[in-house]
Amino acid sequence: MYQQVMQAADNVLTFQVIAYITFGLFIGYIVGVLPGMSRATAIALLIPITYKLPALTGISFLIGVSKGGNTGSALTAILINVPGEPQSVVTTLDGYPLTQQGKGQKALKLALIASVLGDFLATIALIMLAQPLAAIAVGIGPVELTAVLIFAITFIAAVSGNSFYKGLIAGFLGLLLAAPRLDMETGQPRLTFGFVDIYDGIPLLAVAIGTLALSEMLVQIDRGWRGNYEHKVDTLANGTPEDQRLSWSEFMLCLPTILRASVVGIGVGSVPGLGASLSSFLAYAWTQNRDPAPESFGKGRLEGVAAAEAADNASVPAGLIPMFAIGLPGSASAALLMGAFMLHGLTPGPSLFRDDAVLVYAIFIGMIVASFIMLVMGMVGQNLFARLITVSETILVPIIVFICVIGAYLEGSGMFSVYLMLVFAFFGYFMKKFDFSFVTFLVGFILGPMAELSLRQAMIITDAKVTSLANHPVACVFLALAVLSVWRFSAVNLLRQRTGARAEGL
Amino acid sequence: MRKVDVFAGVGLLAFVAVMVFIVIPRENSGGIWHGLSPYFYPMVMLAGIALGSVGLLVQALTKPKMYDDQPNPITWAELGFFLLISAVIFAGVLIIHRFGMWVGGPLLIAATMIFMGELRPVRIALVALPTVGLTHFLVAYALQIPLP
Repeated sequence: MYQQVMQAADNVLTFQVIAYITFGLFIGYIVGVLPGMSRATAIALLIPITYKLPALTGISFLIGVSKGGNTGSALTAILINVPGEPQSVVTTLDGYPLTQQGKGQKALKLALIASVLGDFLATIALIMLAQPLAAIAVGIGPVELTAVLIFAITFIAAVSGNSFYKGLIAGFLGLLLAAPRLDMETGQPRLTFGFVDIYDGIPLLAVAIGTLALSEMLVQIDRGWRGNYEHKVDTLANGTPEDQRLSWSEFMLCLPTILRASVVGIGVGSVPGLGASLSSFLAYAWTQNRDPAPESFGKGRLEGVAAAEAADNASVPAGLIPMFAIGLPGSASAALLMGAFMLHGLTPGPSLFRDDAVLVYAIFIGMIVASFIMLVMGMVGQNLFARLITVSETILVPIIVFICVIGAYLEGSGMFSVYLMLVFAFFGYFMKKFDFSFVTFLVGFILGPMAELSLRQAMIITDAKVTSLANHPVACVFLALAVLSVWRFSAVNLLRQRTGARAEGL
Repeated sequence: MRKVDVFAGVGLLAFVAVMVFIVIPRENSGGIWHGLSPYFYPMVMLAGIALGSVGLLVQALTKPKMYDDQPNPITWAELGFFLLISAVIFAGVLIIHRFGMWVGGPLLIAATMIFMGELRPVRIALVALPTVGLTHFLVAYALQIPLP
């Protein structure tokens, strides 16, 4: 293992990989700053760029985008009270009041440090937990895998939207969408309607860019039409130099909060479907409840910003734990990363540790490197990135619409993919408007081929008899958990409805 | 939202019915296989959709209070606006397909900008042309993928 880690370090510490990680963080930061642009959207749009890159470089680049996007979203939350990502809603609670008091720079610095620390700790947790979990998971058979997938879809459906039934329907629609292709046993075209271009399955990017990126742009255009496309920065109070600087004592005061919030972020983020919004809200609520003056939260407390940002950023690497351990993406961005792995001929999950351990270690090392680059980039460029806030959506949205078209075209099916993307944008728009969870939909679509294979194998192994499940206690446990999740975890939906902190797990 | 859920439930059940009774039997006419049919997997997924749709319908019809504070997700005016912008983007894509990216790209960007209320021609040109140029450079030269 030592040799593999050394080889992985050797692979990562090259100019090309570091440059692409930095580039990914840079783009991610910009995406995070731009209100309305999510990191999942950015990953969907940028996957085509990685086609010609080696797997390590391409995936490290996308992970950089994901990390940068999460960190950058704090800027708009703190400076203009507009969360760049849904999970930054909690950051606005204390971040914006701090800005109004002239302490915007101090809040930004603390948010950056909390983000980097949360991200770093969660990356360490990912490294420590993914391989042992994968070692357990590698022994599970198709029956157990089918049960795990059923549990995962019902669980994500239960927690990732406001309606369980809509989540369930979205998950099954995603799984169904994986059906049009050549049948894996007979080689017979199935539900392809004569389109040769989908014999290998519906192109991932057409679905991802359509449902995530272009549909989001349509929502943005629609929202702006009823409101205003411009983002105006309010006149901010000018603080004293002390107000702008984050002192050592202030940092030390917030450090326990950052550590606690990181643990919350790791715990919540590693559960598929719960997402970063819930983790930042829980960490904030915990910090507020522990404080002797809870009423001062929401009026500009540094601990509030630290808790929200640390938990939010910790949940990103933590969200990759189930993906690396059992091949189960828990959020839209993890699903897209899994799709990127697949496009590079790799299957995330327990077998990846066995087949390509060096690559996995290299990605982990790249993630740690990314944390440090993110800190430097934030320290140097935070004020520069903040200027992007004022860019009008009348400029941004048309450019992104055009990039969506080009991105879909690049997957290989040419204009067919572009037309398909338009169909999915239409579909995604109504999913968003009617509150169907597109996270569950996307996770279902990515998991579809694996779900079909394991379902078929499970049917053969059990001879399609329910009684045969008695020989598979692990599968029984997961099926019982699936039933339980339907009832029990709908409470999380209620919590979200009450707090308004809805998580699409982006 | 309640009305939407009822329509969605009915619509999805209709979709499942069309798939199960028309589409799949039509496709499933000739092949020979051993064991599970190629349509086993889609049928299971369609059953799941049907189950979820029934649940959604029952919820919408029996628990109207759940929907009390939920606003209407879309108005007719918004729908019209959405269809219009979709038509603009579709037209842009058709032009890209027919005449290539150098013609269709700037037109798509310009049309979307105009649609969003940006009427200054210089600004439109300053956004549309460099975007297409930069994309062309990146895709055609850096990634070496030919564009339409």
